[in-house]
Amino acid sequence: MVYQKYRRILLPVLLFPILIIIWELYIRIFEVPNYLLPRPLELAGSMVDLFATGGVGKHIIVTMKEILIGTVAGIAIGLVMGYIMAKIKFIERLIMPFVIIIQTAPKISLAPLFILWMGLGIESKVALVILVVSFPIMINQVSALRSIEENVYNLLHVFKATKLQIFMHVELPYSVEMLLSGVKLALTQAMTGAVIGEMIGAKAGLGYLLTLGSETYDIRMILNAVILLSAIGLTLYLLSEFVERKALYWKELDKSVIG
Amino acid sequence: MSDYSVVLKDLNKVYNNLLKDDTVALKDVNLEIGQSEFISIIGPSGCGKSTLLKIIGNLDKATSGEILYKDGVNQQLGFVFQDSVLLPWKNVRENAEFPLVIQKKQTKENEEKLDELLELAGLTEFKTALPRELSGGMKQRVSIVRALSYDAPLLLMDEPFGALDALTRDHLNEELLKIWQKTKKTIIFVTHSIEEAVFLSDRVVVMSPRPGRIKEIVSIDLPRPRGEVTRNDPKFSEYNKYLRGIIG
Repeated sequence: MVYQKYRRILLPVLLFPILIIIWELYIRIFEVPNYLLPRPLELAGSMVDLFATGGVGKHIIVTMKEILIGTVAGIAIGLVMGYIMAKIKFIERLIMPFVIIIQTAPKISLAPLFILWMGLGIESKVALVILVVSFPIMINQVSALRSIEENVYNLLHVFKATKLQIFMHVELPYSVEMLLSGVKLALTQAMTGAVIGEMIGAKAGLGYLLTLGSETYDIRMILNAVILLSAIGLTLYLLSEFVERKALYWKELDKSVIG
Repeated sequence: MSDYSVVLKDLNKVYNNLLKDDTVALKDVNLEIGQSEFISIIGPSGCGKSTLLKIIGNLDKATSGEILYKDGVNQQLGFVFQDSVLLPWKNVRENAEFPLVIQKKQTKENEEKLDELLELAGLTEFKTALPRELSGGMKQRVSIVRALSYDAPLLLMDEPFGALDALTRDHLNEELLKIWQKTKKTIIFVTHSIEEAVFLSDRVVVMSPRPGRIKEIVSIDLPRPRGEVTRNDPKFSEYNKYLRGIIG
């Protein structure tokens, strides 16, 4: 009974120590030097050290800041642009080709440019995250507004609703639906944007730690940064999924891979 | 012309095509619809019956002609579409209440009336259900209650039961008649089912396709209230046969 109910959590939790043991055995049997792969316990120790000396907190905060500010601003920009594009055909025809050109280029390739223009601080990374986030949100917003059936508008017209009422009661709720599924995707991409920006040029952040670790041959630092990034990514994903579940109570949601 | 609800005068609807000849969707449609009348419009697909209803409902514009409403240009009307067009995040009662919210008419009296209508439509137990939990017939009931909730005297229905199975359709037809008799609405009902039109209507307007015009108006002289007995009435089959003959 207990197993049935909790197996989604229970199974991975059981697998975890097994993986750790295999890792430990692998190092012992093949005598892997610790500058290539540290032992699990050694790695855990270095992680504790990182937190104890207090250095890593700053880097986590910087990366989180970049992700959150960039995502929120990116969503806002994407929503407004999407609404304008969906409503005014002229504007769509005008900008869409450029949007597609920028979309097809890997946005990460713009990272060096942003760092040149805005420096090594948080701004260049936030700008990169905004760029990465706003496009999918905008596209989602356009298709959300387009997918509203004509009869819904007809119905509101019969009720003699004002434009503002149509926006508040129909367009906004329908956008929220698409927005939330867009945000889940956008958050993952936002993290990639922030980290890559940091790896190319930064003074702080987990991406900076990755580069530092690789330059100083500090495998433990690299692995710790990766673990922390995964933890942040997972947290953000679960959070956005929780919000989605609450907000879209009226919809049958797809079962997600995680959570 | 004293007790009219809607009068249509010389309505024409033409779609301009750049390359081909213009399509005449409606040609010289003249019709006077009485108050509390139940009138059906039937005809083969492409005869412009839905276009006509949309024009009456002010969702489309006629190319020429005039429509007089009893209450003037700001005539309140209810519209029921073939698909129920419920907002998926609102439950049954919230959906039915939606026009009252839009028109800011959530008075205690209207709310009570709404609950009565929900009761009449057999939806009381489902007030808090979400649209995705309802069957097609139930959704359409909600859609009808919604159209009635703000007490518009004129109700336009565009093949409202077209997507439902025959049994549900018959059942809802009888319920619609009950609601009509209780609320004394004028109902303009578009359908492609001859039986449905005969069963429900005071008059049946038969339209011919391309250009869409009124071919004949048949008064249905069957006793009310109508029910199972009506369907077995020999006159019922006669009307069906006659109409089938006109539509051809």
